[in-house]
Amino acid sequence: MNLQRSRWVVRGIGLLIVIGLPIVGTWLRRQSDEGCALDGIRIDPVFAVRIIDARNVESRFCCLQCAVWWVQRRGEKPRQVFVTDEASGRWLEAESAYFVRSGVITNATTGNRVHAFLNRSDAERHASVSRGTILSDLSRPFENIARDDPAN
Amino acid sequence: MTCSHELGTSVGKPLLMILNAYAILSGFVVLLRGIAAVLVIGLAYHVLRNRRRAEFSPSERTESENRFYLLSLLSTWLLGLSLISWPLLYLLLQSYVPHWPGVMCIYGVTQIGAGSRGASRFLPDLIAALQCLKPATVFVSGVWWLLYRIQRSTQTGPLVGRILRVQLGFGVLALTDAVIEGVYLVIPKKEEFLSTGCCTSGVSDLSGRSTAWLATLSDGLGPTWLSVVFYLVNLGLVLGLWYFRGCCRRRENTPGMSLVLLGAVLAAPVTAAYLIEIAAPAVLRLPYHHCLYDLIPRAPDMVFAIVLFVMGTCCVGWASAVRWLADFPETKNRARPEQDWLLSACVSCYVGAIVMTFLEVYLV
Repeated sequence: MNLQRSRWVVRGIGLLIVIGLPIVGTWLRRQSDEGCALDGIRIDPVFAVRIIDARNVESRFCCLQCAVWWVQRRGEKPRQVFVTDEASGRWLEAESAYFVRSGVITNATTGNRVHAFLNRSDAERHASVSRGTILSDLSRPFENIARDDPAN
Repeated sequence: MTCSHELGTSVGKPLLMILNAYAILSGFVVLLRGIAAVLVIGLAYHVLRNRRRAEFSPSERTESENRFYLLSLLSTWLLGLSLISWPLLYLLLQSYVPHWPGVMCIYGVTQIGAGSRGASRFLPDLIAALQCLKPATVFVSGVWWLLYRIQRSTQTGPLVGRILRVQLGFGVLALTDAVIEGVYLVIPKKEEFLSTGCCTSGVSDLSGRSTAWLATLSDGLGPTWLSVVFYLVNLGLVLGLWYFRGCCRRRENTPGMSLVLLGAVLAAPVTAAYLIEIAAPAVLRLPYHHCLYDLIPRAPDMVFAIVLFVMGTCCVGWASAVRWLADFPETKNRARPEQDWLLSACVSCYVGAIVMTFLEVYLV
């Protein structure tokens, strides 16, 4: 009788673990801060990138390189891309940003060397200090990906 | 492993052998395992050789029996150390992550040394070998332990020869594992260039994983058919095991053990593919991040589900080994209850793992 009872106790504990662990684990993961949508690492607000896709879903990235890889893997035109102005920390549309490829790596994992600025003067200053070049035309990130115009 | 870009990240200070708490603990366990494995191999070989002699004096017989018990004691010690060393390897690799600026998880650590010319070029292969040897060692040690349990309840000890051979194999595996781990710990990890620190880096699926082609069949989270196949195969296996266990309880010589084992072996790659292509990205909520290593720090609850899958597969293997190796008339009846509880453990492990995986993936 006791053996039978202890078996049921063990089964009950097992069931509790099997059902309880995923619920608690998922709940805890939901509470934690969201990381980069590509590799999950912590996002430094100075280099953050935001993409709003065709379904109006927003994804955040730790650097420009992650955002570019994400867009290329999806093979889908994003509705809007926002980058962070490294000088002020404010959001701006990628289309109006000045991009500089320099020797300064923003993320050692992806090796991102591209920096975004709102003002040309800030971009030129960064390029001269860190021996970089201002990107133009097709060398700009996201430039070869035609975006949907939200107005259309 | 191929990753498209090279970071060229220069590590400022050359890193020789990394000494942290886990490295010291691993080194200590390696030393203990090495000593235990050498003793097990030596004693098993000695007892096996002595057994071939036709005649024994009473004192020689007692000495041989004492050696056999000493060998069993050493094997138990080695079994415990082998069990500890398996999770310890991943804790060690996780503790290495902060030592390189571009490494974000264990995957990056496994790539340290790739493409270099020094001794560190062997590091990725050593880790790959360790990841195969550890489960193999634990499996063989489990076979030994089960046979030894059955042997202890017999009068004539018909399993001694087989137990000694299994112990010899266990010792060789454990020694190889300990030597490789020792070499891995000692090799200087001062690579100046890191090819990649994350399996997600790159434009396409460039992690070089063998199941990458599955991701190309769908939008990131793997094809739906893979989920269907995973649940069908695993639930089918559970039902098969359940039915087989019932048959074994009713009849003495139920055929079909090979079929059950084949089912478990075939289910393993399907499960692995599902975990890599669908479960890991879903649990991590990163559709392009097919990295099981990342589950260790970010979703340890999912690691528990994977451990249950591994235990389920091992239990099927152990049940088969017990059935095939303990087939003497004296041991047959003693092997049946062992086989029964192993099959029950298989069913419980698989059911637990399937339920956990389902909840982990679909609760997101």
